[in-house]
Amino acid sequence: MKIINQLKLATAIAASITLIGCGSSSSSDKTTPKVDGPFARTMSMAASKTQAVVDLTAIKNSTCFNASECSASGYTFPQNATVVPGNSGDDITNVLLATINDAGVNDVIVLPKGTFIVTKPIAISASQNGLTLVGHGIDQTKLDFIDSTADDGIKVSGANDIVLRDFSVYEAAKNGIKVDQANGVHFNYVATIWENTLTSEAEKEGLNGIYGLYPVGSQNVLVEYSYSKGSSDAGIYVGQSENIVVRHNVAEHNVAGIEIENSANADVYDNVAFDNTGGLLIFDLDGLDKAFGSNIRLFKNHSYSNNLVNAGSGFVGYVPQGTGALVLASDGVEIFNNQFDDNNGQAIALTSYFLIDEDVANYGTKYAQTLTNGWTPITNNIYIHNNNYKNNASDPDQNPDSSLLAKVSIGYLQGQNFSGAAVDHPAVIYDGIGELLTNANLLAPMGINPGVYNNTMCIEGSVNQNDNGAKLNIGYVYGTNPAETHPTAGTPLNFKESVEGSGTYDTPNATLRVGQIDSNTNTLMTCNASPARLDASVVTINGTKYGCGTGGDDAGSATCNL
Amino acid sequence: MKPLSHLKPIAWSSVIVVSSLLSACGSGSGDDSDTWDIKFQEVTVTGQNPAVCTSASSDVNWDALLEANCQNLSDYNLFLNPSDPTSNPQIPGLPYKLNTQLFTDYSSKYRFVFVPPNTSATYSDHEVMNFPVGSVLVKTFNIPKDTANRDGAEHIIETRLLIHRTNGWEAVPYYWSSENDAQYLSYGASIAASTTHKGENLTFNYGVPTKNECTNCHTISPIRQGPDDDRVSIFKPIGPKARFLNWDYDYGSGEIKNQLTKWEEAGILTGAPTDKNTIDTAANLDDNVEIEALNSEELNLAARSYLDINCAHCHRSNLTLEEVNYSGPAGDSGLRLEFNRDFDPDKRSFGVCKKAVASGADGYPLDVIPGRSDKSFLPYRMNVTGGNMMPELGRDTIHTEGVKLVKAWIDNMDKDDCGLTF
Repeated sequence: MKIINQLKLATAIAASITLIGCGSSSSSDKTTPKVDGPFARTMSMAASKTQAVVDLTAIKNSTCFNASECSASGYTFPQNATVVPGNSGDDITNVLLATINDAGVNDVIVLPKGTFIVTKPIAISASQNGLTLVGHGIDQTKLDFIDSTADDGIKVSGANDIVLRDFSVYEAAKNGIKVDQANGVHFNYVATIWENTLTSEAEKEGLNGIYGLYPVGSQNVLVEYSYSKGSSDAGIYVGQSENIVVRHNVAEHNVAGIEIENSANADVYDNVAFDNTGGLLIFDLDGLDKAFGSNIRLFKNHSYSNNLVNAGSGFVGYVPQGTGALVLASDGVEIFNNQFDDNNGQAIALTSYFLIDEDVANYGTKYAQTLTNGWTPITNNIYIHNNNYKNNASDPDQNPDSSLLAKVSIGYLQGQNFSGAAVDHPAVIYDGIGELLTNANLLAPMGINPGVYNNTMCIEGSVNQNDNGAKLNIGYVYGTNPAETHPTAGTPLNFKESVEGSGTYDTPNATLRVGQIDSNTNTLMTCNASPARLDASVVTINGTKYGCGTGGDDAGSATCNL
Repeated sequence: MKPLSHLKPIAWSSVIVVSSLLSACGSGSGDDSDTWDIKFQEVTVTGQNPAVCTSASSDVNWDALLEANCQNLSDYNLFLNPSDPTSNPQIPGLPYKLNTQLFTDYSSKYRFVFVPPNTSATYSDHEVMNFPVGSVLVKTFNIPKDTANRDGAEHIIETRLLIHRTNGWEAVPYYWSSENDAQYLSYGASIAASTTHKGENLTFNYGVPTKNECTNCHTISPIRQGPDDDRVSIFKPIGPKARFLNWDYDYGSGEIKNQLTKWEEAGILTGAPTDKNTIDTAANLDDNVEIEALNSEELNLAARSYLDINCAHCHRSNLTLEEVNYSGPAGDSGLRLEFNRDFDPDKRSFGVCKKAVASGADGYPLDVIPGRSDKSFLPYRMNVTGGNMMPELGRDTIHTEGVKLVKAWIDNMDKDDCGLTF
């Protein structure tokens, strides 16, 4: 019987050197010229207060917009709306807050056209259930919170059917727009922007806020045609929520571009994430009221050049620089028909929580409550198919202080791997450790039993668009078969002796396998049969259904039929 | 309660005073009056003043309290002297005080409870007393010139009413734009202020919250149970819980009495235990408590009391809430700090070895690292102002004593590096 204490990933990789023998050739200074992705940016975005953020020329030329009777995205201001007065440049704090605080159920409040100083957070409560807060356009009405010294730009708490549209929030002290425990929130043509370039130093000085668009603990969340730049955590974040559609958004220069955390029934499609540390993130974290997420689909997104140095703290501080998509401790994710380009670390990383906390033996005490609530540290039921990959993985993050995969990347690049030679860094990395421990029946105390990995980790239909000569590789940090033996020595391959010579193979052994995804000889994450597709999601707000799910406004579209 | 030393006998006026003419400095207190100067600010009164706000009677205007956000605090007739909400409540108002208080930039707070005649609140073991409709909780915030002399000169800032109306509790905030009366102010204010604390001059911008910001703390929100769960948040008072009231208060004229007993005698509370010693009671804390002198048990009680009143209105989830599947606004952070939550079986809820979900700071990897307050994120957030600070609102200064207390609590725990190396 094996008794797992700590995984000790670093020593595991180091040990594999002695196990297999190796040379080492550093390829960490390898550079690859950037190549623009084949997708045009779907929106013409810029972070300046003076430049157009979204190109809505057609509507801006309309009579309606010029008469200030509708927003740039075509929303017609109703007759009974309350119009907040203001000339561009004004401090509208008092009149805006008076209007909102005295507003009632189902009111519509129209923000003025221009750039305005707001010196205090805007709080919206259940007294304003059904509120529509609308500006003249995402680049037409700008609320500048630079002089607001604390808290969020806008915070909605415990209310239903809130619509926020056609304005932007700049330089909030904390989060841009937080929506907490709502049922029904619609972000439509909304931006949250910190113009300061995100760096570690800027983050320490608090020059960049935390989250941009930040719905949490909510039902029926729709984020569309929106934009986030410069957050020191996630630009567009949906946490502990259910029934979610995130589409047609742009996230750039954040630590995490778009993140779905401990959430269920989420469709994330037609988004663009670039120049973040990580483009698209799916996390399940421990200890939360909503213990785990499920049924999350990422499709037809363009995630490219997410190579920003990680300036984040907290969980997001683990995200390797150069990540197209990262799945952490999640179950039930489908990633398909996306375009991943020029992410210098890896296009897709699939990791368990064990890469964050190696202390396997103490999970039962440390995470007792959250395990009881259904959270698990493993990643399972991941179906990745029909994605395009171009020139990713050319210069991965090797700094252990900022990347949970640094040691893995070092291992691949410096030959501390299965082959003993440097290989092209995998574009898809799967840590495999949760599966190995599960298959070895070592996670039963956590309620995870052998058999849960049964053709449930699958990648197929990958399209190699590399034109830099690199192979399109997939990597396994740990082999997943506990019975596998060393080809020559005959000893267990995926476990090693914690006490050398003891004959007791009780410690997981990182072997850093690699295979070519687009080759029919690849054996890693192959599909015996294509797994079942996940269900489409639908969001209901004010009685209208959105998304690919039954009755949704996109149902039956080409994208939804992918 | 003492009179406000700076009050001048100016006739009641609805005129909004432009404040530079009327400084708040202690004209009656004498010393250094020209160096301490918090100004009144002009405000714009919003909303209507219905007829119910104008009462011929000098009694408490219960009808107005129930029905209207009157323009002036004095419209409700809550105090004998409408310009002094720190003493002499109209019958049946009673002053009360919490043994551990929420920190608000070292302000002094004056609390009163009004329960309508012939009605009473029912006792709750762990939650706020169940007050009948019509009840009003009144809290006035003054900034003392020197926190060492809270009975001395002070500047009146705001009076917040929490009124239990027929459809639930409502926050009705009033701002003192002059020393004569306070005006209903839904949109908040920021007041340049200063005070002397332990010999040090502190300057800060005191934030008068907007009406909706009151709900940021005074609310519990539904933990959504599905796409059709359209419950909304519920507004709640925070302070008048048994643990904060169960101690002796000086009612004047030699009457020093347990507040719960006093409430029972006044007929405004029923159902409390006869033996008040059986009630789990918070610590009696102020900024002069010597933290070093506390033994382990006292330190634990003090810290848990402090965390409860300062944090747990947001950082709470389910537990003894009567409403099923509700949490405080930060219940979904995973950090929960209720006084009545058992520590040992649920350490992660107190942040022990837990990474913050929605924030972080370099060098402070986990919320609470037992024995390492210098590396713990929880006291870090108490020890900053700006975007990363906790609580999110209600202060622009650092509560040095509170930070010290919570750090001492962390350092007093059995050491556990949570698997980290430092």
